[in-house]
Order: sequence, then C-alpha cells, then structure tokens
Amino acid sequence: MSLKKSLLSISLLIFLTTMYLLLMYDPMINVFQNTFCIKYFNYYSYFGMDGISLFFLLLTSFFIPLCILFSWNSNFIYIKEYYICIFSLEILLYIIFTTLDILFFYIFFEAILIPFFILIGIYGSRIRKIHASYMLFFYTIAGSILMLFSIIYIFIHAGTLNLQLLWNIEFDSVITKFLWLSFFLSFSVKVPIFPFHIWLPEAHVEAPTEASVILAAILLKVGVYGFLRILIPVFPDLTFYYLNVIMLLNIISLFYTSLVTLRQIDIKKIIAYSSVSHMNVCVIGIISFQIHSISGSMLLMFGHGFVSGGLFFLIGILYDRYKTKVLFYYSGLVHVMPLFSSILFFFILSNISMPLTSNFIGEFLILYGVVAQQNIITIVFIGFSIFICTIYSIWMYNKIIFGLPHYNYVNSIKDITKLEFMILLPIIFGTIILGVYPKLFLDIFLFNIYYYFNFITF
Amino acid sequence: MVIYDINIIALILIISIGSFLIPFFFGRFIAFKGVQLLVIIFSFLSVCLSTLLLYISINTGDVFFLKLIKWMKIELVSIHFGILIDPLTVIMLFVVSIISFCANIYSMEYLHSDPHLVRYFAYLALFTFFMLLLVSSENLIQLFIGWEGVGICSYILINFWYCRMQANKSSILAVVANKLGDIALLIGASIIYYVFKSSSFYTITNIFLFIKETMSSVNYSLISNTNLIKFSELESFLTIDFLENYNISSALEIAMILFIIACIGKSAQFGFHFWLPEAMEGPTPVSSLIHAATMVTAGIFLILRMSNLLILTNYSNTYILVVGSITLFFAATIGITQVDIKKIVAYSTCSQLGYMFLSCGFYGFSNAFFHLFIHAFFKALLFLSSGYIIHLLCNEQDIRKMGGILKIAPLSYNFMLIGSIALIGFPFMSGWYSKETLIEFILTKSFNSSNIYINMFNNFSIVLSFITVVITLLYSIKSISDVYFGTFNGFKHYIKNLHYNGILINIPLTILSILSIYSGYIFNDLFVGINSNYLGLVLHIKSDITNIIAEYYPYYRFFVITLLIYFTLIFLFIKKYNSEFFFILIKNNISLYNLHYAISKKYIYINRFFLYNNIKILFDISYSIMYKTIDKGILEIFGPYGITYNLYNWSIKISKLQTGYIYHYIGYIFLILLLVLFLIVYIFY
Repeated sequence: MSLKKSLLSISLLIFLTTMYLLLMYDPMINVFQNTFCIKYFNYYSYFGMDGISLFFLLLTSFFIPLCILFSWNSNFIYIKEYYICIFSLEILLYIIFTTLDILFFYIFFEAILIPFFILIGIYGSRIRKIHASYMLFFYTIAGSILMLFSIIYIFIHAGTLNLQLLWNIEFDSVITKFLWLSFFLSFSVKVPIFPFHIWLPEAHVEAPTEASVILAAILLKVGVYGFLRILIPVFPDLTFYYLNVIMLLNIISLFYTSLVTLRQIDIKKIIAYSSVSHMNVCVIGIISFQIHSISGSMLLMFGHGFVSGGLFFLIGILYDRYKTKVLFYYSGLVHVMPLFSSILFFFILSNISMPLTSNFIGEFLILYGVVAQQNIITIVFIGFSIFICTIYSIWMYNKIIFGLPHYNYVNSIKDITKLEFMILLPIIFGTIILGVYPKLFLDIFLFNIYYYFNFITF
Repeated sequence: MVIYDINIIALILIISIGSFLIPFFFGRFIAFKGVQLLVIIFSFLSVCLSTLLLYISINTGDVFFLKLIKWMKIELVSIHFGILIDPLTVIMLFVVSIISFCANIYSMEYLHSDPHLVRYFAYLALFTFFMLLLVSSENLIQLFIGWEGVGICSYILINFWYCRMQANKSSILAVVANKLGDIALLIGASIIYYVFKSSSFYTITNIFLFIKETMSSVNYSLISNTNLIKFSELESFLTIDFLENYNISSALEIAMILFIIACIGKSAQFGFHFWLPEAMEGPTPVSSLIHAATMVTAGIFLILRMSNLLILTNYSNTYILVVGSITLFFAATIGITQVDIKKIVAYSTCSQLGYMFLSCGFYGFSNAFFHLFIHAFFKALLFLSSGYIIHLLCNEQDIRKMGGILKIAPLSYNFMLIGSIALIGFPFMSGWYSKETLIEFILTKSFNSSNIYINMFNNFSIVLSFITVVITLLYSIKSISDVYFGTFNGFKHYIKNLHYNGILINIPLTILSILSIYSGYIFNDLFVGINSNYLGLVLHIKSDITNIIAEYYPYYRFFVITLLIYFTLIFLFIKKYNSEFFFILIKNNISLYNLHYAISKKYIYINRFFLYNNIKILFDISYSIMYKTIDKGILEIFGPYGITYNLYNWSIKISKLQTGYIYHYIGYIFLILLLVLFLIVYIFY
C-alpha cells in the first residue's frame, strides 16, 4: 500500500507542477516558453512548450493519478511492473509533448509502444490480447518506419531537426510530397484514419481499464498533435494541396465508423469506434484552416479526452463487478446501481454533445469552420455522424441501464464505491467547466494558433 | 421597469433550476413531503411572477435584451448568455409556468405511490428550466441549449417507468427524431452566424433589414422602430464588399429551410410525426406538459422568433404551408380510427400544430401564436382529464373498453366536454376565438397572390384545413360519446376497483377548464385584435383591412356549407349517436370505409415505409457491408491476418526447396550461375 501511496503522491506532484506551469504560462507570448537545451555529443536538442503542448500536458497529468487510484484496491501479479509501465508512459508523453526536435519526437513516438505492448499483452483479460498487442505494434511500426526515412532525408537536406528551423526550410517539390506522405501515414495510424484504424478497437477491448483510459484520452491525441505540430507548420502548402484527400479519408472514416458502431455488441468497442469518429471530426476541424475550427478541434480533443476517459472508467467499474463487456448480459442496472446510471447518463450526454458539456463547444466551432469553408458534403457527413452517435449512445445506455434486470447474471449488488466516485468527480467537473466556461481554456492556446496559422488569409 | 423585469425573469429561472437541484441532490434529506411542499411553493411562485411579468409587459410593451456572461469568444464568434424580454417570451413564460404548475399538482396524486416521485419532480423541474431557457434566450446558440435540453428531458420523462419495453422504445424514438431536428438547427445557426456574424435575434433581423433597404430600397418598416442596434455598429463590417460577395438571400433561404426542418422535428409535423403518438407511453402529466403545451410548441416558437427573417425570404414559407396542411389533414384522419384515448389526443395535437404551421406559412404569425396560447390550455386539459379516466378504470386506455362513464364520473365529463368543445371551436369557447380568426385569416390569403403556383398551394391547404375542421369534430365527439355514453364495455374488475380522484387532481383540471373557457375572450384583443400593436413589436402583422374585405369573397359560401355540416354533425353525435343515418352512410360506402379504416389503423403505413424500412436498411448496411465485408473482410486480408497467413504459406513453400540431396543443390547452383551469366551478357554486351 505504501507503494501506491508514494506513487499517487508523485503523480499528484507532477499534476501540481503542471498546474504551476499553467499559472506561470504567459498566453500573450506566442513562441515557445521555458525552453532549454540538451547537448548530446555534437547534437543540440531543444525542449520547450507553448499553449498547445500545455493543453496535452494538463490532460496527461490529470489522468495518471486517476489511473493509479483506479487500481487502488486491486492486487494482481506483477503490480510493480504495471506502475512502471504507466509512469514510463507518462514520461514518454511528457517528452513527446515538449520536444522541439523531430528525431526525439520520432524516438519517443515509437517508444510509447513498448509500455503499451506490455500493458495489453500481460495485463489484458483474454487470450486474444496477444493478437491485439501484436496488431497495435504492427500498425504503428509500419506507419512510422517511413517517417524515419524522411527524418533522415530531412537531416541530410537541412542539417537540422529543430522544428522552429524547419518551418522556414523548403524542400524539393517531388521529394517533399513523399516526405509529407510518410509523415501523414504515421500520424494517421495514430489518429486513426480509415484504412489504418482496426488496431484501435482490438487494443481497447483487450487492454485493462487504465490502459484504455490513457489510450483514448491521451494517446489518440498524439496523432492529431503531430498534425498540428509537424505536418501543417512544416508542410503548409502541401497540406493545403492534399486537403481534399485528407478530407475524403476523414469523411469515409466518419461514415464508416458511425455505421460500424451501430452493430457492435461489446461496450468497449462501441466507445472505441465512437472515439475514432470523434478524432476524425477533430482532424476535419484542423484541416478546415479556420481559426474557429482549429480551436474547436482543440477543445473537442480535450473534451473527448475527458468524456471517453470517464466512459472507459465506468466500463471498467462494470467489468470489475460482472466480468463481462458484452452488451446482452446487461439489463436493468438502474435497479441496483442508481448512482452509476446517473453518472453514465451524464457521460453519454456529453458523448452526444449536449450543450453545456465539453463536446458541444468543439463540435459547434468545427461546424462553424466547415460552414465558413462552404464544404457542403462535409457538413452533411458531420451531421450524419452526430446523428448516428446519438443512436448508438442512447441505445447502449438504454440496453445497459433500463429494462428488467437479469437476475440470473446479477450475483452481487454493489453501486459505485466512494473511491470510484472520487475518481469520476474531477472528470465530471472538468467536463462541465469546459462546457460552461470554455474561455478559460481557449485563452491558453488561441495566440499559438494565430501564430501557427498565420499563413491563412481571412 | 427594465431592472424590474430582468429581476423577475432571473428569479423564475433560478426557481426552476432550484426546484431541479434541491430534489435531485438533497431529495433524500427532505423526503417526499418536503419535495411536495417545495414543488408547490416554487411552481406557484413561478406562476405569480410570470403573471406579474405579463401584466408589466402588457402595460409597457417593453422589448429589451441583456447580455450576461460571455460563453465563448474566438474572433467574431462571440456568444453570450443573455436574456431577452419581449411579448413572445413573456407570454410563453406564462403558458409554461401555468401548465407546469398544473402538471406538478396533478402528478402529486396521479403518481402518489411511485417510489421515485422525488426524481420525477426533479426531472419535471429540469424540463421546465430548459423550456424557460429556450423561450427567454437572447441568441440562437443559447436557444439551442434549451432546444436540446427539452429533447433529453423528454427522453428521461417518457422513459420514467423504465421497466416497460414499449416506453424504452418510444423514448429512444423520440430522442432520435428530435436529434435530427437539433442537427438541422445547429447547422442553420452556424450559417446564420457565418453570414451575419451574430446570432442575436434582433441583430440578425436589423442587419438583414438594413441590407435589404440599402440594396433594393424596398421599405420594410417592420421593426425598425425598435432601433435595438446602432447603425454605426453595422456599418463597421457591412461594407460594399460584404454585400457583393455573399449571396445573403440564398444563404438565408438555406438557413430558414434548416430551421423549418428543426421545427418539423420538434413539433412532430409530417415526416417526423411518428414520435409524438409513441411518446404517450410516458405518465399522463408528462404528456400534458411536454407533448401538448410546451415542448412541441417550441418548433412554432422558433418560427415565430425568426418570423422577421422568414418574411424576407421568398419561398421558404411554402414549405411550412405544405407541411402544415398535410399534417393537419392526415393526423386528424388517423385520429378517427385510434382506440387509445391518449393517442387520439396526441394525433389531435399533431393536427392542431399543423394549423399553427399553416398559419405561419401564410404569414399569420399572431394568429398562430394565439392558437398556440389557447391550444396549450385546452390540450393540457384534455390530456389531464383522459388521465382522470385512465386512473379511474385501473389504467385502461382503450376506449372500446369504456362507455357509460357519465354515470360513474360526471365531473370528469365536464372537464372532457369543455376541452373537447374548445378543441372543435364551439362558438364562444376559447378555441373558437383562435381557430375562427385563424381560418378567416387563411381565407383572406388565397386571393392575394398573383403567382399561379403559390395560389395552387394556397387553395390546396385551404381546402384541407376546411375539411379538417369537420374531422376534428368527428374524432373528438366520437371519443366523448364512446367514453361517456352508451353502456359500459369493460371488465367487471374495473367497476369493482374504481379509483376516484381527489382534490389534487381536480384543482388543476378546474384551473385549466376555466382558462380554456375564458382565455380566448380575455386575450382575443391582445393577440389578434384590430390595431393591437402588442405583438407587432416582435411579429410581422399585416394590416387588418383585408380581413374586412374578405367577407365579400365567394369562398365564404363554401364556409357556410362547412358550418352547416359542422353543426349537423354535432347534433347527430350528441342527440342520436346510434342513428340510422350513420348506419346507412357506412353501409352504402362499406368498402371505402373499410379501406380508410384499414389504412388509418396502420398510421397510413408511414411508420412501415419510412421508419422500419430505413432502420432495416441502415442496420443491414452497417452489419453486412461495413462490419462484415470491410472491417472483418478486406481490411483484415490486406492487414495483419492476410500478411501473417501468406508469410506462413510462403515459408512452407520455400522450405520445400531444401530437400537434402546434393544433386539438387548443384542443380540450383548451376541454374543461378546461368542466370548471372545471362544477366552479365545482357547488360554488358
């Protein structure tokens, strides 16, 4: 227990430090702040943060203490290694979100896979976990091996891998297309965009609850972070050139994942596919090249982090009690778990972007940006995805919570404990704050977005 | 006065959210008695305050808005939480609080032994809060909070008795049908925001008026007298560039069509109507509050809010017209053959909302609003009094198992009769005032247009609305005579276990019946009186001269015939229900009658064709094509499964080359040497 206490206090310390960073952060300065340099032989690597990275740092440090709290009472084999994995994930994510070096970004982008591979492969629940962890590894490696080649090419060509310097460097017109494509592929596997998405539901289903929460709340955002940080600032013209291709892929993903989710029977798979469709809406917001929609997709990412994190926690709570994730075994839980069902209803409402919760602001701003772009097809498909999202979310909720309970499956009756409630309370609080007063978060990164996207003419 | 009004409206909002929060979070501490007391006090206070507000507003005619907290701001997208007070808001507040008060009092007895009553009152209060937010919001995005909130509240209230599978199904249907409209509203609001850079109702209207006046010098002197926005503010971004680059009229047309779709979804008009009768699975007070008086009229409310924009577009009113007229006719037709007492009233609601839509389509906004106002009272009365009967007869809803209840419960007959004759527009009941002026208004419009197609649409809708007046009469009198006259057809068990309702059910019924008798007479001049300028501040009102001229139109002869049929039918039904006349009528046209009966029993097959088939197609596509063929098929074959499988097979094939015989290996070596030689020769020579 002392292990857990010390770990919790360390993670809370990290959270408080991040809050201190937030306090000390000056939103009016749009360049990187708190920068420092690491000299490694002859190679200088810079670290620093701006509003966008601060956003993701907050999200990371917010969820790690909750993940530790979630396994507070459980005691399984190799528990020490489990926490090593979670903390190494946190460190790697911190480095990814603060580095200003593409090589470092690549290295730690890949290194995330190692703790995740272990988390799914060892702490998963079923035999299929081997397959899932293999798929996760295969897809991400296959996507990002091309990125390594292009990073080497960039280093030979430009002599530097510093992001800020790379913003001003031009490449050969033929080669740059390959460079763009390699970066795009590696990030689109992480987002994930349509043909590369099938690792995600598998990984979610097989992963333990904490790993799923981190995967949905933070890891999916790394891909979009790559879009924001590397793909668009380094190759702005090409991203604009290939805009319709990305948009098409995103629309296909939206349509496809929305429909696939309708017929899933695994609760985790439903939420996983739902988060695929939400992340694709985020990418649409970013490549709409409107200030509104970009900040909207930032907010949607943050909100989706909260909402899907909360939903995975709730599913984890269910799994702890009844040891199944199949929808048909659940019915009438409101009779035995009223508190649980109210909280689940809140998160379901947030998932279908009810106003005054976090997702609504993001979705409205993205929709506004797409309307400003006058892209009718995208508007139609975003509307379609919101509609289908309502259907499957409400249907899933109705299936789990309402109706008569299956008495032959319910052996023990236990509503959520005080600890679980305390885990969920900050997430609920964050969701409401983000929905009612998004200005608090908008101010952090708005200037950075102006700075990044200054090539947009209004 | 301004500060006064703002305080009152803020107090009403705080009261309604308080009566949600206190029972929901602290309900277990104050128990059912405490919640009951709290609900009575709070909702009564809300009624008093809204009446006071109405009084002030009628006397002064104030129109103003207040921006409170900034919600979000990015560049030009700057949205506030705000409060708007104008006659529209004030009257809607009055209606919502009165019906909510009645429904609250009623449900204290109607659900008296329900274990989750505290939660029920919390939900009801939450619904009321969202409805008040909807009507008092200052901009479109804030209106959207209320718009979606009432949809969600309707989900949890229809599904209040969550063990029933039918309630689950119909609540999902309701929330999904509402969501389609919500998405349309959201996209429409973004278009409006993109074009006008504002979502505040008055700002939008004034900008558009300004543009119209500068572009075409047409004098629209509608609400320019309110002068709510300074023109200097407008000129800052309304440059000539703006006017030339954006085709504002077409953008507005698209936005209005999206709004109309949203209103159709919310008000259960043709195409989206199927959720309303299904929603009758909920408790009866919920039906009376949500599905008669408040939530379904939110669609009409939005049209009224955007009325100043609607009149400036060219064709969007035609959509409202056609949808409204089709709905009012066909919902009434289905209502004749329904046997569920609540479903009859639900279809009647659908039909009456169609009347309001029709009137909006003819730009008769004040008439539509008056009918909305009156309809809220008598429809709530009808729902609550049918709840009376349901409670009386052991929760039986089928009118075929009733009959002769007049002797058992004469008081409920009074309520039902008042509601019904107000609905059919019996002279000098409140429904008469609203419906008569509405139909008279529609009549005058048929001749004003010179466009032949618009004339065609106009005449089509006028004929439908005329026929429907009679059909309304048919189903409401039929349900009354089935329930109250004749002999009792139910089980003996019902008679033995009659449950007479107490004072808590009779009080709201009495209030509502008084309102549905007198409100038409009292408020007639305020809404649709000649030269009444009260609603003119917010709605577009045509001059009244055409109404007077209309009396000389030849259509009025047709109107007289309708009146004749109308009164004959009333006479026949009340005096001689089982008369020879009807039997002969039905006997001579038995096949026609059967056809109609069969079709309208099946809701004119609309549910079958539109709903179930679409759902089936959607689910089939999503499973067989999307999931099975692509996700688990193509992507797996070209993805991990295919690669692992092929690698395994290839490795087996290649390993077969290694046989272990020397001469085989020598053969391979010679083969490869030959190949290399050939390549060298080919390349170098």
